[in-house]
Amino acid sequence: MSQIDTILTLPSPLKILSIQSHVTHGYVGNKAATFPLQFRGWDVDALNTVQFSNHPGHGRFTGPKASADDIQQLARGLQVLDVPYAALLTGYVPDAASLAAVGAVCAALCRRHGSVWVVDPVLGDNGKLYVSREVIPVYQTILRSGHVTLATPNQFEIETLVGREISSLVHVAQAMRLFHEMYGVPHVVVTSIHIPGENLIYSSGSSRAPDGTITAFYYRIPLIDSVFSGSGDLLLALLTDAFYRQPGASLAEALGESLSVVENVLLVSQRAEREKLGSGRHVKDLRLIEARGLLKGKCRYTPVEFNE
Amino acid sequence: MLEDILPAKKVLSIQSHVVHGYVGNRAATFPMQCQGWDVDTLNTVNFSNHTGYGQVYGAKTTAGQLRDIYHGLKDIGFRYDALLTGYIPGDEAVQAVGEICVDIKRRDTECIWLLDPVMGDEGQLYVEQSVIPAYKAILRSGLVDIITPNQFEAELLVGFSITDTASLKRCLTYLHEEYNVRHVVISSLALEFPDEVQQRTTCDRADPTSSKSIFAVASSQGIVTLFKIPHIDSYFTGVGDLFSALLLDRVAKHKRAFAENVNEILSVMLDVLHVTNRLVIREVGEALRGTIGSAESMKHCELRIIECQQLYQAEEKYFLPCELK
Repeated sequence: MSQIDTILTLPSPLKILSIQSHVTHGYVGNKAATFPLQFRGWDVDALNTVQFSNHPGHGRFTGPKASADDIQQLARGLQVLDVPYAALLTGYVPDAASLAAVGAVCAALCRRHGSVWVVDPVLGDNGKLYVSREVIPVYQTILRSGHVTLATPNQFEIETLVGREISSLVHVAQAMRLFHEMYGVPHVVVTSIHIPGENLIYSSGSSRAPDGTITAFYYRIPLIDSVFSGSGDLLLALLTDAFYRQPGASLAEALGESLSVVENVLLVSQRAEREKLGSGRHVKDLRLIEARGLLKGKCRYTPVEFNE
Repeated sequence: MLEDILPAKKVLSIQSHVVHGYVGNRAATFPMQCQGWDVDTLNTVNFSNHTGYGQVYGAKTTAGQLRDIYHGLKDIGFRYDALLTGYIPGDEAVQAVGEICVDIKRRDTECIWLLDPVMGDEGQLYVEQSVIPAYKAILRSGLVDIITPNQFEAELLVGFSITDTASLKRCLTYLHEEYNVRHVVISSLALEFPDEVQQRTTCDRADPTSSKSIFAVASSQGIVTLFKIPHIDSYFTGVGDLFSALLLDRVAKHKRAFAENVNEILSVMLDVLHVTNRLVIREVGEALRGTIGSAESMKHCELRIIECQQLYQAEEKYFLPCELK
């Protein structure tokens, strides 16, 4: 069969709308999410909430944020287009009014097309907020809307959203349980959890079945000795793909596969950074293009179930 | 696993962005990424969809914002193997993009600049009149390496009509000499050529039952090469943007005659259009022409950029072109 005949027998690609930041140079936000999703066969519509020269990890950047009015305009455009998205992915949105507009258009798309909505409630990291305080209640409203299938807060974000600090693995399980109870979101993933005194990181997830049964798990991930920008955004895109493609399979499998691929990309990126600068301590740009052959990897970790 | 990974080539692509659909940067980025390019994308507009849909939402990037973003890039340091510029809405933004690219070229003459002077098609201008002199001013820098105008755009750049072989050759000479452009491709030429030229110019994929065709011409190093393109009955936006992106990929990677690169990419384009047409038929049950102003029809007539992922690397050449003496 010719290549063209093969293409013509394949099912249509799934459609996803990704609402995140855009940078001209580098791979964070939509720049980190779009290519891996496209490479794995998704038809990705990308709404850019900012257009910066590069991500702030470089220490400086220029470029405009889309105003709340711009984002409302684009949201109106999406309402007119009415594309039947299989999935929605929302990340960094710069202010409360824009986030409310994004929330409204996504909720409407979920109602019309039953889209799976993955929300990364971007608030801050390492104890610091990097959005205005008014954004928090807007995320709380979105999470309570009943349309969100999977949320991926980081440690700081889940602490903020459930009002508890995390300093042990037991706390992680409790926070995720509380998150299900407070917001009714069936699946939650918390990546990159640092437990004081431990030399690895934890990645955890929890699913609550309609009957209320909770399945929570975690992975132990070896620490890579570098700081990376964009790795969380890449993980989010891969997880959305893996989670959607295997709806019958567990969240644990989807997360395990995604973590394995991210690790490969990070190792390629770290090595390239060392070759370029002699040091790979802060890897500012993921080498997504160089590592594209590794984007369809398999899981190499084993999940551990939480026993409470 | 990690051993055989080559560093990516780097391109700065300055074109439009749409949330939905495949034109401008959206048509160029993914195919170039698949071909191993790190694509830095500077978006000249941030729209919901392309203008053919009738209703468009979103904002243009101002000339000031474009300069500002470029200053940010300069500040963190860059080195580009190539520059790709396409649709820019308005003379001030065209001027800003010109300054940016001239600055990059003066720092690094090895960098290849492909400029698609997007102004209109088939006698219709879809930018303001003032954009024409702005493009001419950029071209007079003498730093553009490749241009890919359609017939109408080429006519605007030289200031006279292309009506026959002689005026076509005069147009090409003007573009090479006045603007110091190394390689020119004029896509979609609606011209009659003498029978002996027509007969020597064939395509493996031509439909023998159809006599309709248009021409494309490539001009480089004094050689003018004519390609006869089978007519495809459809209307898609973004075709030129994909063509320019893939052509730039080939020129940056191969030291061979320019016409060979053009032949290869025209062949890829035929396959992409064929797949797109077939998938439109599968989706809506019939061949569909996108109607300007109808969002419903336009939604189905987007290039199938994702489905065609495996086609961008193809090396087949479907055309037997002829040299135009």
